[in-house]
Amino acid sequence: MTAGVVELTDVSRWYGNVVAVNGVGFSLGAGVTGLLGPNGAGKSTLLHMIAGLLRPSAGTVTVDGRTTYGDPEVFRRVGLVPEREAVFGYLTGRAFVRLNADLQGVPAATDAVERALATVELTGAADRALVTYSKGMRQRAKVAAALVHDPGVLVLDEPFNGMDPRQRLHMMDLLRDLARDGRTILFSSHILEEVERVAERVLVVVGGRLAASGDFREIRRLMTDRPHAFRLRTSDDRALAAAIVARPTVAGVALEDDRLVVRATDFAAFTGDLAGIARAEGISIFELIPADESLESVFAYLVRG
Amino acid sequence: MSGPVPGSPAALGPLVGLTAGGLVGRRRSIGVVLLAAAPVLVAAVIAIGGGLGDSATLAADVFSTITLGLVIPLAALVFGTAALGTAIEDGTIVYLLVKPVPRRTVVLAAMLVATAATALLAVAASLLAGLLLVGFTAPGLLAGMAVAALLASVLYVVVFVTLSIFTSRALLVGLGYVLLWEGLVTTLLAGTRILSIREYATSTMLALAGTEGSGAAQASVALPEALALSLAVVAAAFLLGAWRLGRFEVGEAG
Repeated sequence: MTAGVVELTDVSRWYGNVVAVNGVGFSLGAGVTGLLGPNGAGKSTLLHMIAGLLRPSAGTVTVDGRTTYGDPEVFRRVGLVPEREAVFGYLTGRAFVRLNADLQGVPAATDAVERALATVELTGAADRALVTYSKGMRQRAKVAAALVHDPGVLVLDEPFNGMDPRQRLHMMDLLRDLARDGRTILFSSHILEEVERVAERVLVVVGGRLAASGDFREIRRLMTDRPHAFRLRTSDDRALAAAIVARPTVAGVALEDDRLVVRATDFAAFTGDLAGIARAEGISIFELIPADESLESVFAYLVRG
Repeated sequence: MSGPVPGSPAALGPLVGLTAGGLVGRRRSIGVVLLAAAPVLVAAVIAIGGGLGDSATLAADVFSTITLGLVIPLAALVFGTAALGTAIEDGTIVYLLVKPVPRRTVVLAAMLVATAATALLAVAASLLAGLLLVGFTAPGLLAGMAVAALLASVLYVVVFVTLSIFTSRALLVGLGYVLLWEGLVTTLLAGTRILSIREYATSTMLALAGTEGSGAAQASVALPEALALSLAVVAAAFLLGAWRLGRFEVGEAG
């Protein structure tokens, strides 16, 4: 397997007055890359441009040096797993994969189909109609359909959406295995943990711009270095505030709208500390909510930082 | 990686199979089959009732008003807009677009399958209704109705398939064309009949039947014109559909 090389240079895409992607550039080779961003950040637009389905409004998108839009050869080098769950429900899993093989003009299609079905572990269910599949199985059938022509680049749009934890783990293993074969894999997600667990590299997009890219650990460190805010509801907010403000893990305390807001310097140390303090002071904690853990706030921090 | 060069017709077979599978067994398709039985039932009722005058005129009237006026356009509308429209609507069209297959082949497959489904019902309904009314006494009329049914099936389907690529409201727009334009405007304003699929089919039927037409079936477009315009409709619909699908862009901001 020779990995495909995906290259974006100063790529923008707008729909009328709406800018979906704004001056994005990156280059990808073998391995798993996660495309992380909140909903509406431009992830699907980027993936569709890489798959040759959308023409960039400005800039160039290439796979193995070929401009993706308007070049049918690119379709042979890229496999796309779309986000939309709908498939041709009346087809069996095998017929669906076979259809994709035939439309790709895959030689020795029968073997290729069986190989793709085995890769996603669907051989046993291959004779059932797709409508009878669970979400996870359907997702795997879509991956098999995108793999059957053995592309060097595999692009997956929100592959973990709607999956239960077991299906999610299975898909993560599958992506890692496919990358080990030497493929270039790019998947999008709006969930930090999913990306963290599979991707070696991360591209963070916010508002159509590339906010950060590179090794996941570095980005994660940026995220954990910032102060964490928590909102608490307790039996005695003032007493607890007085008790914890002296701790080194706490950067600031405030009382806002009947809630105690604590800014902690270290996420793990603070949450470990808190229970002991509350018990010592005889205060009950009714509620503890991380106030800025939403992905958007992480992104906001990255964009600023 | 080898395989057929892009542009080879090898993809037509799988696409035809896929589209046919999508039409078979859908509730709408069953409704169309029931609809196609209507002219046959009407003909049967008339035949049992002992007829109402000249049977050839009656047969032409039943064909012209029910089969050609209602059954064929509605069947073509259902099959034509479903052949590609369903895939466009639910997003499965993506699986066809990310392939090294010319978009015109995708359009061609949809038109072939929808035409076959429509024509099968249309010709069967025309012949059965005709046989019930005229028996084997007017072979020219039967042939005329069969050919006209086939022609109308092709024309309505190519128009509606292309319509479904341009708009997600193809069913509504198509219904408007059938009911408002062909059902109202062209019946009131004779000059507009030159732009009516129904008129092309009627001319064809009457020419083959060898009659001037009477009652509901009147020829207002000459046969050579009707055939030339039919050819133009097929060519224009196919080229427009292929062009539009060729620049079809999937996905939206997000």
